[in-house]
Amino acid sequence: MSALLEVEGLRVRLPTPAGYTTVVDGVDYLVEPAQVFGVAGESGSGKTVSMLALLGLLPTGAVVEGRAAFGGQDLLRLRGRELRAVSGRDIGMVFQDPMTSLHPMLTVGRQLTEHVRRHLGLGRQGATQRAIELLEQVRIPDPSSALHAYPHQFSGGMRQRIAIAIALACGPRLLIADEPTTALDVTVQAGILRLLDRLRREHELSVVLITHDLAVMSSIADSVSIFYAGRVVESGPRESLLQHPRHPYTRALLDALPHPEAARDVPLVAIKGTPPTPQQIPAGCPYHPRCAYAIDVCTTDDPPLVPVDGRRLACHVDPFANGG
Amino acid sequence: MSAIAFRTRARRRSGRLRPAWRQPLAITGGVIAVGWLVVAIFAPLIAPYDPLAQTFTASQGPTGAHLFGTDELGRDVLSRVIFGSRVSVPIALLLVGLAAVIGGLVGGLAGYFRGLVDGASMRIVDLVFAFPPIILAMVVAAVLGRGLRNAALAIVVVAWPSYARVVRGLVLSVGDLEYVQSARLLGSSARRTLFRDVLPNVAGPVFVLATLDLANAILLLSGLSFLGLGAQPPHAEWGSMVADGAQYFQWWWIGTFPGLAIFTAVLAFNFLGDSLRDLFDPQTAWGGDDRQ
Amino acid sequence: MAANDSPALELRDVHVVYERRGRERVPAVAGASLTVEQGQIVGLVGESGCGKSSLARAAVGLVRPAAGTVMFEGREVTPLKRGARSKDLARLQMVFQNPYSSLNPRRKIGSQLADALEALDLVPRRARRARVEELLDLVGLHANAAARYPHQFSGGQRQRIAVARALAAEPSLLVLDEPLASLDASAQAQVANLLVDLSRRLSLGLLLISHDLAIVRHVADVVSVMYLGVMVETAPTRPLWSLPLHPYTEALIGAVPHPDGRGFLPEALPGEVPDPARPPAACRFHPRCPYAFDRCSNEDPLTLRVASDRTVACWLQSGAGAPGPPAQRAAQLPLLRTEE
Repeated sequence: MSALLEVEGLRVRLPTPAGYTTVVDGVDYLVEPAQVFGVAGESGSGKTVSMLALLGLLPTGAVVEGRAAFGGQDLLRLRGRELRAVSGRDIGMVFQDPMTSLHPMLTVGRQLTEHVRRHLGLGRQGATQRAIELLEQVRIPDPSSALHAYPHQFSGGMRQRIAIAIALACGPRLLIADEPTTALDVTVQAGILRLLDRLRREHELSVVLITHDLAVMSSIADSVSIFYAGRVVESGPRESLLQHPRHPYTRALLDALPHPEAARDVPLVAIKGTPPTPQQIPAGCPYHPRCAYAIDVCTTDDPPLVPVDGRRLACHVDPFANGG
Repeated sequence: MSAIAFRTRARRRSGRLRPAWRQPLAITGGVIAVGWLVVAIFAPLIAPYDPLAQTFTASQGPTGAHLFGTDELGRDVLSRVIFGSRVSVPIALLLVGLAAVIGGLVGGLAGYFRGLVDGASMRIVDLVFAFPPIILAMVVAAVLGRGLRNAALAIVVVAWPSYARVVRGLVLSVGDLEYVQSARLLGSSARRTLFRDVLPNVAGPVFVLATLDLANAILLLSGLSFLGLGAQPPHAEWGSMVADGAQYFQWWWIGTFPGLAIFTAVLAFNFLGDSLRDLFDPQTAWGGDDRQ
Repeated sequence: MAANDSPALELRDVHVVYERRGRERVPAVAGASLTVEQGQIVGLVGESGCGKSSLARAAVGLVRPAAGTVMFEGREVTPLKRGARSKDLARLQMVFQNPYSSLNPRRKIGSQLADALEALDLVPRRARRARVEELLDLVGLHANAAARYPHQFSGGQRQRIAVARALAAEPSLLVLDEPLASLDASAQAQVANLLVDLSRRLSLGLLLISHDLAIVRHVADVVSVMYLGVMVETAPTRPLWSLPLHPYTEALIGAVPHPDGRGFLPEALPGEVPDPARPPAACRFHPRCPYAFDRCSNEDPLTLRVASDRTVACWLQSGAGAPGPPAQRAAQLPLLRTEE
């Protein structure tokens, strides 16, 4: 099966008064159909910017290089109306904060139907019907009344479901979800994750799930890419990557999480230092100042992302190669 | 949380903000304001003629001898404009300062102690707000009698409630902020917290209000003088000069130059006010943050 | 000085009410009890609307409880008023969630750390600077931080500064309202470690409020679970996790995703948290509870002491037979009813 989305050499530079800074520095990945593709990383890793670049949502003056093949077109070469036609219809996006991602002054029904009418050309009746269907799919109780309600009348979890419904309104093949559950309670989060999983199965939908939470990644993603300082440092199938991480950063991220079986009173393993800002990316491997396994070459040469044992890894040392 | 962090970082990534005092508007405003202050201070040295001296060359347009022309009594307009700054600018500063202090105190106490103090003072504030400022100022000035000093008092009466409102609102909101609550939990008394944590964070907006108010004060003073309630003839004051000019429209220079003086002074203080706010935020004052 | 065996902090049947706009009274906390022994780490968990922040504020005296008692070291906690806070309460301090608003942006760090030292007169003036440096060292920051402003530090560092400031008052108990919520993964681990370390070293009791069950499980000695203003279960951490007795606790634990790579979706809890102003009748959890039976919608559950260190507010755990998992007890229901 050919890939749904193929990104090659994505590089994004954003304008600042002090000149351009490189926020995404050479990222490649492949999203298959009906797959949940996880993008993990801490704040400042470039994970969100790399997605915004695909949808043309970057601030003016941004410089984007590379290729993003989607449905036979290069998203990065599309502009204005053409891009909106594709991004509005074939790609849906869900953001983190359900409070600000829905228009507070329009009813839910209006927000749903507006989208549907613009991209699918349905009449009012058809659009309303579709809106009710969408709300049913995301399990909003009493959809016909919900159409006339305003976002503030719903809880955070419900609003996120509505946001997902809007994103799915035109039957996209790809859904990009940026930290969709971070602001939600854990039981509500579980509901949203289950919803995404079901939608993926029922509609052959691919989901790009961006989050810093590896536990969430572990529940739902099929493949995971770890971002650090604007590039991918490790990527591969979820199970092997999370159970046998090979990049020291991935390993450190997992070690920093509390382990259910760990003895209490054993301190959590914190990664020393903080992620670098785009203006201060170290030479060589960007992670080397915080890495316990760095050797000389790490300070001078940026390791390329290479395939190894069924995953891709950007590390000179590969200290856990033998399941360490 | 990461998306929020991304937005914040994006702002920081967009580099160092220029320090507040390098903004072009602030410089322009500052230069003009300082310019008028200098003129006011050195008026006797700068003005070519005695502002009250009448000559026989009445109602002459701008010439080499009289750059701004002469008014209907033969007085040099340029000198009168220069001496007029001695009235408008320093008095405006004084008035605004007074209003800010009085209003700030009332508002601060109202916001901090709430209850009866708050209720009573805010009703008085409401009362003053019910009147259009110029009308109220006129009434007060008329009641007190003509003259510059009474006009000044009238302006203070009209101006202090804005500060009371602003300061009260700020004190109320800052009081709920966690760092204020922390200080109280650590044992700081209410009074100490008021002065150390609440008021300094209130000072910024008050300063901005004050600089913008300076513009209003100059306008009000000129307005009162225009109506005959402020500076009395033959004193040179911009507002009364404009009133004169309105009478003698055909001799455009009599009213236009003082009008321009009001305009530039007001504009200068507006520019300054807009930029001063940034100066008060330690983050933007020094050109963005310098985290390691 | 507290008697040696009295708990550091004791909340009994506390009610906290606040007014919404439109004069509606919302009972954020409707009769909750909680105890923190000296030097103990207690985790208070619950989701949005459960009232844990309101409870925290009542515990330190920022808010006056509408009913119930709050005792610190055997003495009643008087709410904060106009005057300075009672010096007896200085040893009860709080750290807030948002490290960006809990420090005054216009004051230097050193000055803010010295607040307690001045207000409580703990250290003579000339020794204050040294003490501020000690406090910074205690939380793992360099002494030169004292001359800087808050905006020059990261979220994690600011949170450590907030902890240092609270430590200046030499507290015996620290209430922390979601101290890790706004932090990065790395910073979370660092601050969590710091808190445990301080607790052990200084015999400092901690009341840690958090929605992150994984961290609470790692750090706390005892966990209390709150739902819609009431305490539904309290137990030592290990037993709570291996055998949750309240259906809500069970649901909460089941909803936590695990980073083990195995791809198990966490369990969702049907329904929504009701409006605290209009809670369900009797047991507040019954509309969403998979095991609810008739008693649950008729009688408000009592808080049952099922072991010397465990309490639970659920009718399933009353009646004959040892306390057991909710599913098991639900299956025994017909028996339970005849027994009573």
